[in-house]
Amino acid sequence: MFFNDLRKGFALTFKYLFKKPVTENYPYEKIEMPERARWLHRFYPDKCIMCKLCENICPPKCIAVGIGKNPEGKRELRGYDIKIDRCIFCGLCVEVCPTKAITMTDVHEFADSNRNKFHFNMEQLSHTGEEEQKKVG
Amino acid sequence: MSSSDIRTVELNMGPQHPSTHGVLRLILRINGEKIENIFPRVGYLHRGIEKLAENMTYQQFTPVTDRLDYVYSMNNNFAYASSVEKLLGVTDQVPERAQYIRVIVAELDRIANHLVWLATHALDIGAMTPYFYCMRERELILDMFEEISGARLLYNYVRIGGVAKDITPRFTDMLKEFVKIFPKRWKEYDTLLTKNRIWMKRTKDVAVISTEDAINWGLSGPSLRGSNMEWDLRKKKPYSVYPELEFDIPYYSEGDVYARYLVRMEEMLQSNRILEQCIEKIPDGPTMMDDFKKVSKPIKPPAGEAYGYNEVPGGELGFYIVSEGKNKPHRMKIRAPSFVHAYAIPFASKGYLISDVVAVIGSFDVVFGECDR
Repeated sequence: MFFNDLRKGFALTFKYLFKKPVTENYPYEKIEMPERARWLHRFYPDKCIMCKLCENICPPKCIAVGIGKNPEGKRELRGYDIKIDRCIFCGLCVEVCPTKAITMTDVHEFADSNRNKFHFNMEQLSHTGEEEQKKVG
Repeated sequence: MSSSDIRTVELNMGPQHPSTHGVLRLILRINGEKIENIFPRVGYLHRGIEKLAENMTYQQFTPVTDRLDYVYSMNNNFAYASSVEKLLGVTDQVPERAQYIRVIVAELDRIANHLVWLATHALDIGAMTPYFYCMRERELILDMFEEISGARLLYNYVRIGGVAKDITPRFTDMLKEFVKIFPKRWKEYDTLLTKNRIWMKRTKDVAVISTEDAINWGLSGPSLRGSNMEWDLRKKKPYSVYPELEFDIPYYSEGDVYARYLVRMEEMLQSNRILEQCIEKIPDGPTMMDDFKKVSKPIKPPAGEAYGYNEVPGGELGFYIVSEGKNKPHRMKIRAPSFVHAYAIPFASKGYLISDVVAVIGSFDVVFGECDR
């Protein structure tokens, strides 16, 4: 009687012995990310209109927009910093941006043991996804 | 000290015990192998989410609700969004396509949650094989969610007034494929566990809860339905498009761990049935109310209060929101099923053995992101 239960279970697992594994060989084979993937930001400084909407909507308050005045008295963008270690990747900053100056890419391999490396500045963020960025980040 | 005192021993179980998932700490008062009493200690994962809500706008709080019960984030989003809609009085104005998408993702997430529950519950009791089978199907669901929302665990997809983005054709294909194969895969879990003698010995007649006790302890969801109570908010207090869909409420009269297991197993098939109908019935149209399309536009509900509830995989998840007419809630109380269930563990496992406590914790499906908040 008890043997019958075992037989049923083993028959099922034995069936899978000859099938291909469903696991992915991740670090060696890269996985394709969907179009809407929410990973590291990319920032376009020339598109930014300094409205600060992204700074205000960010739930953990990890975005800082630096605005100064040039000698002619006009507003200009001085800096754009994201503390990625605080970021929760909710994507609200991307949705709120009226000019699509901030977007999210599928760059997700930026783990590091040094916490200071997660404070991304405007220079780094505007080159996300390019080859030299990988060396910096 | 009398001899009876000496026999009672206090034993710590958790917070790092492999079967007290998350950070549950139980202080067991045992007499030999028998449980005399249990004192649950919760709060290791306390992040003050209710207080955070008071300092955030209504839209900002949506990604935080993901972090309540991270196994069924879509349902948390859904419950929060419908609560705020109730407060605003716009429940009927949400576009129908958005309502259907909400139901689709909620039911998919229900299956995903029950798969994780089955995997870990079986693993705790000693059956390791179902884990691999369950995770395989969960992966399909996570891939689908990644396709529409961009994230695999914390989606931030169901929003106030609709859903963030429309579903893609690729998602629809994946969904149709999933609905077709899931009943076959379900049979495999069934083969591995339901009639297995060891599984039945470990779960039958363990932690029996009568209908009356279950109601008095505030149990909800599958834990209540395992105690001979036909109660499902989707049927009894319908919301969204559930009245238009056909499904049954599975309930069993035994009230033991095995009954709660059967309820959850049956629920997965019922969810699959709902998905099949949704694929056929989903209409075209907008997926977001025009008033809420801009995330930056502040929502200012009129002064008042509302209690919104949803049937999430764990039970009844409710958001009680008090508004004072500002763009931030004045007070938000979250009625989390896990918290209620965590405090039913001592009652349910009194008089049973230490190894039965593991089965009891699993059968209530307690997740600590939600319990400690």
